[in-house]
Amino acid sequence: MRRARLIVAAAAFLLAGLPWVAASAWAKEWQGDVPGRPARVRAGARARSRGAPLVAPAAQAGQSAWDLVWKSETATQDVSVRGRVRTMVQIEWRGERAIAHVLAADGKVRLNYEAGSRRWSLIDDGRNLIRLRPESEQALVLPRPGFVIDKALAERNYVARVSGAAEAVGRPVRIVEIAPRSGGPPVWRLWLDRETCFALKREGYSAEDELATATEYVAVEFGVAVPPGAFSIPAGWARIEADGGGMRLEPEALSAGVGFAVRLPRYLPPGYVLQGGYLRQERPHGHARGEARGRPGRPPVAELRYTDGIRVLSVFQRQRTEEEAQHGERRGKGGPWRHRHGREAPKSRERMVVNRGNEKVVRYLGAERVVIVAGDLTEDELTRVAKSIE
Amino acid sequence: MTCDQVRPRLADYAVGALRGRERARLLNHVGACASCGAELEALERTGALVSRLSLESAPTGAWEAICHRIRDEGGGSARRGWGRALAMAGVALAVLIVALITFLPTLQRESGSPVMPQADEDIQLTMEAHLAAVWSAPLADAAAVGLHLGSVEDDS
Amino acid sequence: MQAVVVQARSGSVEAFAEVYRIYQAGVYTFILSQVREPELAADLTQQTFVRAWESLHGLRQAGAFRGWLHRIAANLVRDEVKSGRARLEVTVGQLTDDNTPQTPIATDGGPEDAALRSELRRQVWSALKSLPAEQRGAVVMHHLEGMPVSEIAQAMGVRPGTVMSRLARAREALRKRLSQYVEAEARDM
Repeated sequence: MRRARLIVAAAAFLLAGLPWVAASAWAKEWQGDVPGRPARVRAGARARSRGAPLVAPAAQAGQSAWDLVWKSETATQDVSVRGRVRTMVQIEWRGERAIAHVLAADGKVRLNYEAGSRRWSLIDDGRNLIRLRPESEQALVLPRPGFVIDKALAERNYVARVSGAAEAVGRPVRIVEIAPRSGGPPVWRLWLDRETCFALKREGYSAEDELATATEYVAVEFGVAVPPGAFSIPAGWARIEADGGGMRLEPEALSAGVGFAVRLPRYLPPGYVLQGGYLRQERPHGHARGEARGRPGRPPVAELRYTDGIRVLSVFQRQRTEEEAQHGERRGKGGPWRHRHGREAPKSRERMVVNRGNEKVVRYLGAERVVIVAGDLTEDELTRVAKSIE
Repeated sequence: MTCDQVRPRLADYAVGALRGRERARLLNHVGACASCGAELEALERTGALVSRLSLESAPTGAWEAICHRIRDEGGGSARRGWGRALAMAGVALAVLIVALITFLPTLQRESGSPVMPQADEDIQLTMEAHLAAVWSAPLADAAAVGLHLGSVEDDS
Repeated sequence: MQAVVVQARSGSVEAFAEVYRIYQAGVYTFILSQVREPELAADLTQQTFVRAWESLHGLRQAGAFRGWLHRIAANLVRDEVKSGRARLEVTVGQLTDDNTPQTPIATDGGPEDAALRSELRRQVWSALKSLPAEQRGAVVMHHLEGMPVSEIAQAMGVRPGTVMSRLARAREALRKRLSQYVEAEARDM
């Protein structure tokens, strides 16, 4: 009771303070040219770039736009990079922003994020995506999906062109735009360093042609030494395993694994092909390597992964549990569940859309199964895919 | 240009979206083709028709309601300073309260409350899996996807 | 107009009252074109101005005020739709007269002419409401409020090219839907 009174009393302060904070943050967002659009890179005192030319510029003469794009994908195999970026991802109607200190080498990446008072790190060691939580000394380990990059598919569905030249972080860059071959504005814009082809700035646009992601380097160095342990979990930290979906399965094998007949969507947006299926099931308690996540006994989920060469469409389906069939969907207990973005727990409904910037999720409650579709498509497209499974 | 090529672009021309050569070529055709010329005029008349609609005023009493709220929250330049100081204090306490609300569920989870709604649990786990795939896809903006992943995790 | 915004930004409620007087109709009409219920539109209009007041000190360029204000309105509408408290789409089958704004179409004639114009107004609004929300919003901002494409782009958070595309597609759809009135206008000219 006392705790409740404390909370209520403080809520009054909350009401006084939060609108100002929210308004300030919102107003700050507007202070760029367009809400959500990051400020231009400022070449000058704050932008630093060091390192002698590392790749002979002559080697790039005559390269097509696609050549540049594919070279940028593997740039850190040839040269190590250290820098600082400003990054933004559009979530709901706000831009989530952070600064990240970046170290990349041999195809591995480490990002140390700062967003307000939050600090966390993300490591890609080539096999796992590892999220480090310093406040609790925990490492959440998610096996990296084995995504098969199909260049021919990408080039079939998209066009790439060099649209101009500029400077980023005081370095000359080529601007490459990637747009759907069927027409429409670019979905990606890359500012590629002329010497290394490393992307010093990126902009991603959503299916609604809104700026969804933006990252730009404000400081960069090439050819840096990589400190030992940079891409490893610190000693003594708790390791929590997350389900990475296991090996790629054909639909028949996936059906056998989940225990129900997995249905393929009858509708797919143009250009998407099936990469494979994955079985997702939270590991039970007592797993040798650490604490499990999620509830034990969660029903297995079949994931079908599609791609058009660049974008990913993930289609998940699971059977409704007996409990759900008898008592309806679990709504949550112990009070309203509030997400960090202030969204209340949804009432049970047939369709639920989470608009997370360019990656949206539609959850569709069918008669027998729950279907969740995630991708960089419009809400209508995602819903159409979801409904085509029932 | 043929009529089949021009027709789909007439509306773009009417709203001023065409430039340079395409605009000139369309104008050339329209000047010589009565049918396309008539259609362009119809599109322009449509625009003019819509432009004649007037704006609708907000219901009476709306300003009074707004004024009441902003004066309650501290309107006026002198009060802005106080408002800001109060807000800062409110923010500090708000951070404390948010932390309490965030950790209370964790502390109480063993006793069975609160439990994430099924829908949110579905979404969180699938979004995480999807973002991991996006991370591995070509042209992935690693920094932004990582920020996105961090946000999904924060919803747990 | 910019001077009034600047004054309001420094905390003058009286100046903000003037800001409200200048921009309220545009904001209300824009919101009304997006949601079905006038009461909800009125409520969202109030919220828009309250939020604008709260954030005004952070607005750097007074000249960007109108686009910025509409951005607030658009975001509030989007929040309402996402929360499930408002439906955005209006299918053709659901169109009624109930929520058609009582805005006049400029008329020069007497009562007979006014009755005709009233019907025309109803038809134009009906046609407008049959458009997708993004197109509708762009049309209201451009044709009724006279906002330039660059401001609309700021308000909607999209590129100017996207705004023009929305206006063009809207124009085509309206042309078809209002064809008898468009032809009638031609004959009257």
